[in-house]
Amino acid sequence: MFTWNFHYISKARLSETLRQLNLPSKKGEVLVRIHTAIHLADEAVDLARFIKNIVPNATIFGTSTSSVINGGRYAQNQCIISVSLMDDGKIRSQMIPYMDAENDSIVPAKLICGQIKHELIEDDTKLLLTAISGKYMDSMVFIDRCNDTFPGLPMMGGVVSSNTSTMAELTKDGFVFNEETWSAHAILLASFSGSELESFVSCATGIQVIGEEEEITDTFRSALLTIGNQDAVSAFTFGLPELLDDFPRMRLLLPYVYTDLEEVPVYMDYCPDTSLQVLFPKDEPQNVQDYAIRSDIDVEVERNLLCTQYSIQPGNKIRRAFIYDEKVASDNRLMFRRVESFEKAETIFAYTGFVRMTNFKNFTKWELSAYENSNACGCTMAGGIAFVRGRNLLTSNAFTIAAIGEKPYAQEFNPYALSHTESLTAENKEVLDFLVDVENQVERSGNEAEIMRMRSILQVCERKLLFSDYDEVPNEAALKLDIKLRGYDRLCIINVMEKAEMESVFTSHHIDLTFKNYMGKCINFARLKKYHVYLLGGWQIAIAETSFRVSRSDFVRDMEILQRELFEYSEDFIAIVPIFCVIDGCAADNMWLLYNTARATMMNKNIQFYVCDASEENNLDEESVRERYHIINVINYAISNDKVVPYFQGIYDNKQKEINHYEALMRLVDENGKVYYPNSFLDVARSYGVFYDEMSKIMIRKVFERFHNMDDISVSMNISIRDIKNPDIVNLIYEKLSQEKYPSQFILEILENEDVDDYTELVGFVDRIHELGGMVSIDDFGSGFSNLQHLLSIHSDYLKIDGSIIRNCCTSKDSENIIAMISGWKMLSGNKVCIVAEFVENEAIQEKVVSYGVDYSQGYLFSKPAPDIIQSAR
Amino acid sequence: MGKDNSKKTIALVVENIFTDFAGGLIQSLANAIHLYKNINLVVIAGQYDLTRTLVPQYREYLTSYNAIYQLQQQCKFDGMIVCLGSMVPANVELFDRWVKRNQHMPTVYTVCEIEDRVSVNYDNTTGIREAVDYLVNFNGFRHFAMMGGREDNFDSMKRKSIYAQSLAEYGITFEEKDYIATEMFVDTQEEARILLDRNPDVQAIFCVNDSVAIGLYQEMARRRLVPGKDIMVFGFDNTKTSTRMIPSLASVGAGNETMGKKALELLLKMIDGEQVESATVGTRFYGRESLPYSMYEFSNIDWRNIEEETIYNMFDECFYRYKPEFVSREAIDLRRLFKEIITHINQALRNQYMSSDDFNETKDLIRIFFENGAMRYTDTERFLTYINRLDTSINATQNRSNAGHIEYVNRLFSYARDCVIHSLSKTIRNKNDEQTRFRRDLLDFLVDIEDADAEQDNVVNRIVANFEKLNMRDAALFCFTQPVNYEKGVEDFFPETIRLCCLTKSGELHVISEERRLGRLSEMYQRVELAEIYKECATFPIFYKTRYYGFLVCKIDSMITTSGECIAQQIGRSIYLLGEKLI
Repeated sequence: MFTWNFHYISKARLSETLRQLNLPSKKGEVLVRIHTAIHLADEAVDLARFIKNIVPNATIFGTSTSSVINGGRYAQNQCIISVSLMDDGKIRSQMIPYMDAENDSIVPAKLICGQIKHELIEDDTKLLLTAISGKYMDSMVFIDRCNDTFPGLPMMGGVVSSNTSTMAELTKDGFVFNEETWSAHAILLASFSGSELESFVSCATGIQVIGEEEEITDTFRSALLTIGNQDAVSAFTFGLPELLDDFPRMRLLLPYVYTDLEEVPVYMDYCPDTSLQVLFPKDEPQNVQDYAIRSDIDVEVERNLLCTQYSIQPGNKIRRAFIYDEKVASDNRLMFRRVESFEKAETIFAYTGFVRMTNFKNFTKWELSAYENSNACGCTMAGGIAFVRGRNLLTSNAFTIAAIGEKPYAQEFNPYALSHTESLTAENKEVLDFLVDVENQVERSGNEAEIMRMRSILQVCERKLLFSDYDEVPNEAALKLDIKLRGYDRLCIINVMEKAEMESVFTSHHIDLTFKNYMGKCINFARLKKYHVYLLGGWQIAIAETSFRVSRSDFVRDMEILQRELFEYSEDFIAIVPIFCVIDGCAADNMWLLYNTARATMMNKNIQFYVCDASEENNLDEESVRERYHIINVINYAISNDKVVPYFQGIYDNKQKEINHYEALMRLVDENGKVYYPNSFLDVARSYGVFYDEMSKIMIRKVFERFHNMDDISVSMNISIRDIKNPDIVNLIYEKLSQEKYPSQFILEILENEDVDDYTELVGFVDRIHELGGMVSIDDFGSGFSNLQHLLSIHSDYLKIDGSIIRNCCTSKDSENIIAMISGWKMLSGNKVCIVAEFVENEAIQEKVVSYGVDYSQGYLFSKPAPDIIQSAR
Repeated sequence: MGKDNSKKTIALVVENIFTDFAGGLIQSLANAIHLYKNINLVVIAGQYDLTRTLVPQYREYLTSYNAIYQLQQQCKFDGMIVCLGSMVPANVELFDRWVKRNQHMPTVYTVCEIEDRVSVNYDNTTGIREAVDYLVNFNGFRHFAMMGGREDNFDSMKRKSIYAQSLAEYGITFEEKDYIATEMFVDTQEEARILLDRNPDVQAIFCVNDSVAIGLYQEMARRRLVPGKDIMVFGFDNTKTSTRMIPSLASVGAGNETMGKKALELLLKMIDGEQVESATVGTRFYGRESLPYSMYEFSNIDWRNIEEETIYNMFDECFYRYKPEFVSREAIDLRRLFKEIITHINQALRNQYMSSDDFNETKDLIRIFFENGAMRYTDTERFLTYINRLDTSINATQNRSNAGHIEYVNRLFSYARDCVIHSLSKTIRNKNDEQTRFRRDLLDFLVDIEDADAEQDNVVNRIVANFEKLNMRDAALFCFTQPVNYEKGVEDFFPETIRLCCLTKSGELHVISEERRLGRLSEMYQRVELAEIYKECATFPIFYKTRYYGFLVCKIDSMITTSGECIAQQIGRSIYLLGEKLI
């Protein structure tokens, strides 16, 4: 068996695709499923005929739908065509009307089932694809009868929906079709038989039964009149009927289940202010009989009614249930594992309930995503058939999967999807908010007894939503709720980072053991201190408390103790490094933002314990921000108005006893003529890289201009690592240098303020400068820590000792020693490097540096930076 | 590399650091600086030296001590808050010089008014009037008296006239016989005797400040008169003393805004170059046993539907020393915690049910409440009155038949009373322990530095080596290179440099290496080594007679304000005795 799925685009493309499949030449039987949300009934029949003409041996099985499913995704307003080719198996299909057109009456389900059994079912039938069109009130009876007539045969499909987005319209225009006709009152069936054929059918709902058993005591058609002799609406809302007006979603989140069919929820529609005769028109053939029998009921009175989709009988037992994310996840995981391990999974049918698709979008998306890449194909059904415990059930809110095939075949699935439940958390949060709202509403109204009953139910639900699967520890949703309601604003998030590494080395048993120990320690510690602990997922734990219950220092101290405890060495467990991030003053909405910011800081500094204060994070220093913007303006103005100007400071040659060298220093001038020094603008410029680059270029041009072809004086200019990495700037320097008659008068001072990560680049630059005849100097030698590395890899011509060392050389022996060391190194290595001392402010310093053989002195003693060169000896 | 402009150092120049009034001001300032970033507070405290009864050697001591005021001239500060009430009149000339010298430094004066200067003063009117209103309207009193202050004291004169004015509005005459002036100190028994002799039928006496009431109490005790029963008594300043007196003294004090906070607010504006006007801080009347009065009656509270604001009012009324500026992210917000406790109790009352879990949780909160020093912000008598009132009020409104939860609530109240007693006894015990330890530490220190064997003849190094023994958590020792001789009247006599010898940080000793000790005196309070201490610190002079050796700078806590002077004195004395060799 093999299956191809494709979207219908045009007849031409369809015929081309079908021709490519070359089906007529293959011997097996062919089933073509069409689920369309874009064709009217007649168009659909036309499409079926078109296909039948191309593939004469095909069996056509068509339904309308509101959205189609293909390969793990669903889409609205599309038409999907799925072609399945059998190897040996047989496909039988038939459309059976449930309305007798001649006398306008319902065909008894028993007759239909008899016909199906006779026409479609064989001994080796493995799956019955079923599509019921229109509002067939006796669907439940029909399915039940099927269970009796051919027990154990899984059915797939359900009640067909039309292309609409509202529940009320859903079944009205739904139809089934084949190449001959369409019908809004018929059941279309297709059976798969064959000795080699095997099938597996399962469903996932995510429902959890929580309530006591109650009995339906009166009904009319599909309307529930009384439950436990209490008005049905009142019973459903625990005596607070107005709740349904405010919270219609309650029907979906807290549905009933039949006690004998606890796996699937009962869908109920809430019809306020209406009468039975409006809901069930007297003239509709399906209803006639009931009106005849139930003359005791006032069918005209207006009231609030709860209606299921299908006829329902008194005496059925029901219980309250609840749908929530953890259960959805576990149901799906279970189903997926079984589908995955089913050997002959050649074809996957996937159907999902309309209610689920529209009300639990995140659930639907998530559960489908596991079947991405497979050939899963199907559509949304108004009511789906689920095969549970050997019986077929009709439900509106389930995700059903059938796997069928004749030979072993491995589908490609996407099992990873199931371990990422973030999208479910969003749904969870929504549901939780809903429950809290309901709870508040309940608190405000009703009497004590009702409130208590409702509260107990809601609390059960909330517990389900709020606790992680580990040992009753509350989850992230609970944390956020508690932050909101109880005002927890001191929070410590604990996490263990190297999980992937752990998994690659240790057994899962070993990891589990370590996890249990880790969790246990955290939980016990928190309980001992009466803090509140949450499992946020994976290894991530949060410990929270209110700020009025514990002071920050105490909280931080306790967390430090816990960290030490977790570090404790033991042979039984893997050594883990938990990181602790204390967030003070957090709120539900900024918690992750603060945490992520803090994590970034922690990563940078490589620390495992960090305290961040929300109030400080948000407190911008207004003054510095204003200053920053002012400086940006100044820079901008200077660049565009030619106000980036070089100042020149003379450097004294200690041998020649004269100033014959200058350093070019950058200054900015603003509109008012105020001069700005680098320390006021350089940081800002650097953080806006383009500014910095532009300023560098201007400086280079101007300096080269000023010293063009001068042979008696030389100049040095500052070049940062950033500049060297910028090809524009480097090329500009090369170009200018190559045009110079005396290139050796130009010295490039390399600043070491950015980390050098690429020495080859730097060395390349230096070599090129040397090739062009230029000189290189290392600036601020002694200020960083990596300078010796510089010294060895760069053949620099000058070495400028950092000013702070020079300034202190008269008062600090240590500083003096460094100067001695540098000059000693120069002598030892016989290096011809020249040594420059900056910040030479007085005679004492000058004497000292000269005594160590420093070649050049720069400082206020000799010259101050000025807009132009001032040639004067001392 | 410019200086960090955002960091500001502010000096608080005050007399008599150990008085309740100064303590309150320092505390309120220390709390207020936490509202701002990067502000350091340096307290420079001298001593009041103008009392009549001084023996000459003591006067000499105080004169030398007051040389410390030179620091505010010689050190670099961004602004100054001055609180030297009694120095103003007695030392007008000196004070004038100060004012002139500080003309360009932003300065805020407290409790005194100087022309063209920004000052913060008590709005004396509201509180005094509140008390008079109560006495006249509620008790129907007609005969009032007052123990006043010095003629030259600005506030005392103001208070007198307001008192007289308030009485006059009720048609009550306030004559000279109803009034007696005092020196505004505790030794007022004689004045009290005269006043009581003159007015045997007096019904209420207003004391110009809380200290004055002490003499009055003594005199009344001698005559077997009970304050609050026979004669109503109330004071001014609402100091801690007032709550410790027996019976506790009703007093007028600052309302929600403290003097320190207001002064700082003005000063910071001045530093930023804004024009500011002098301001007043509101006062209110705090009733106690000597004049029972309360702003709120809780008997009419509907416990089922209590508003959040009412709970906060209840808290403020009882824990009146707890100001909003105490609420920092670091510590526990007691107001909020109080609300939580009351909310728990309310819930029990509303639901007519309290689970044992809930009971235990509430009990735990009460424990935390008191463990975090709630009793620091009220006085016992006041608290007990309040809790009784609450208890009665709750019991009165509840239906006794369904009493499970009431039982719990009552148990919570008695637990709260237990906590109070426990916390008070702990405070007293700690105080005793602290004093014992202090004496022992000081003794150990003194003995050890006198160790004759010591090779070291440099006495400072001996002190440094034993500095830890003084058990001061955050303190720094500054010494000059040479002893400085102080001559009265000479200004700016401190040398330009001073050496930071050692410091303790969180109890840990850091000895500064020789070459890094020296620094400028003017930048003494900007040295990076003690950033943490400078957040709020007090300075004590180290001297003997007229020989000045240096300063002890300590982070402010309750112990240091009372013992700092003593420690500094002992260090000074030792340096003198051990040969004055400072390096």
